[in-house]
Amino acid sequence: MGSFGWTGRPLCLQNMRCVSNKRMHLLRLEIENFRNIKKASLEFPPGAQLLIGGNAQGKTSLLEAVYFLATATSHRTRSNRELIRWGSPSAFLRAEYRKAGRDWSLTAGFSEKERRFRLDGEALARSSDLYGNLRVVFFAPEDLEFLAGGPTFRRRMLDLSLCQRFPHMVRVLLDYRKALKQRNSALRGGDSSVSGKALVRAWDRELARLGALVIHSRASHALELLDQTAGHYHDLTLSAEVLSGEYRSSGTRAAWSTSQGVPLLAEIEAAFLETLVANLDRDLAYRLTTCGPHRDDLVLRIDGRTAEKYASQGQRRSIALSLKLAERDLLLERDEPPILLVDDVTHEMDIARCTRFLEKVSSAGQALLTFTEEEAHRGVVREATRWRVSEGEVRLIPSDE
Amino acid sequence: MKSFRNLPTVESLIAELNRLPGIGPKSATALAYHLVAESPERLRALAETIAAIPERIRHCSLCGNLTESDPCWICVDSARVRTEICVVEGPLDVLSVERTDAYHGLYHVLGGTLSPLDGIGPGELRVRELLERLRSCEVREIILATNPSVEGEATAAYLKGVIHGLNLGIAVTRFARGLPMGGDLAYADADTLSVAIQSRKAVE
Repeated sequence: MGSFGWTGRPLCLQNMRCVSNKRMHLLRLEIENFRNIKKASLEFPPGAQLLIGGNAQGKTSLLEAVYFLATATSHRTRSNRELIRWGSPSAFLRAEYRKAGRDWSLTAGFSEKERRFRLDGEALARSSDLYGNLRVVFFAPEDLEFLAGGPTFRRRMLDLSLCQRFPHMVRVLLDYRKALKQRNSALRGGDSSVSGKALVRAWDRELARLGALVIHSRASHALELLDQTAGHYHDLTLSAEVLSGEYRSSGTRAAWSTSQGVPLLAEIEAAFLETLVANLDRDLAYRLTTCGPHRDDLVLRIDGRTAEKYASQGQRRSIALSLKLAERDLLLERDEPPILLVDDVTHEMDIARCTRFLEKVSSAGQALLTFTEEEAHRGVVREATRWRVSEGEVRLIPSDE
Repeated sequence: MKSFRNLPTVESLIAELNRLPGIGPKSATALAYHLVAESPERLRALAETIAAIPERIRHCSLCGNLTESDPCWICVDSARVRTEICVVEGPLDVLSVERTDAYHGLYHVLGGTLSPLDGIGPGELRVRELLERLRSCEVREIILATNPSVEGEATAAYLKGVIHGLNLGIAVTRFARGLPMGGDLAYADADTLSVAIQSRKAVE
């Protein structure tokens, strides 16, 4: 970074003593016209941040704002319009955070049609350049659907965490999607004549090259994630149930249950290319590419039984939370602990399990957690700062209240 | 553009400029006001230059490159190696390769890449013309120099298949992909680096 590095506010010595140099820490969050929040400015002291308020008051929007700054996506919507406060033409977000011993500022300004991100004032050309800066793990109620949400939902979740872990995968995934769309379009316009097939096969090599990169890194990531998940699941549930699973790769017609079992990139590419060639007639008949990483899945099992079918509500919840804790572990391997955004997930959880979960959450890195009024007493997190969120306004709750 | 209601000429000038690549509404407005301040002579010279484009500049009937005389200066140059054809997407790519001074063969400008999503197939590109050239000329090597993008790669793969299908014994090569000159391994993205590893060569 150029000379822009230190244009932020001077370092606060008070904070430096409390926060270790090796911890990513969100210092300040400013929000304008985002969701139902007209204007908010929060300065975060060290420790956990509890956001307390009723339903639809803006708690989730605060977490969503941080998530958007980290990933350029929202877990709830794809349209900018929904993110902008009703009646306002644009929205603005700004986060100041400490990472690798220095302060950074990250901003997002967006209208209905465009989004602009800046890191320390310098514009980021593509939203994919955003990944790898502010890193977060979002525990959202929607994520509890990991098992019920179907393969599409699971792939999306895996890819989002994969991109945060390896930012270069953003471009690979986008290119793969582009190659796939082109090939599908060729299939729709094509016929089974020799020249028609040649027009489809033109895309195979590039699709196989990009697809192999996706399969290889996503499968390895998913299985490493699963490995960590099993440990957390055991800690949360204190049960002897064995969590296992496999990554099913349709493009190579194989399934792997450990990250060591995932073949070399070149082998995957050759196998995927072979499948594309072998399936050409079928693809022409269906008018779409029937195999590839866009059809893969991560299948989980509890004691050998497919979790998607047989897991109870409680087991599903524990698996989803364990997966998120595992995501944190993997991000932590390469960098400082990510910021954890925990939205209302302790709801309906028994007290013992909830306590164990909150202990894990507050054990590494900074956490922002939302609670409803009734649930707030369960948020027994040490050294927590409490905020009241009401009708889109946020204020600090004095510690004696 | 409510504010230009009383200046319809400026308004339509802005609209025209705004259609150019890389020119947004703000740049278009600034350029329009800049032009309005120019002398009538310079404006006339600019207008005449632009007006002459369609009558003077055309595509070379052999290679498809932009030219004012047909065939183009490269196709008629007897010093050129006539057994090699470098296939590129657009006329700008010819300029880039020419600047290297490392290539002395002929060119073939496709006029784009395959893109079924945009309705662009071989019929929309100068593919038939390329195959005719191969049948009638003494070409021994085709160098595929489409961009290393998803579409550029697919176009190269397609051409390779079609040229092999001709059974003329023509060698098909492709520009090498990988690390940029003066690049640093530590800063190469994994995709580029993995391609560079795959296409490594024995040290000479």
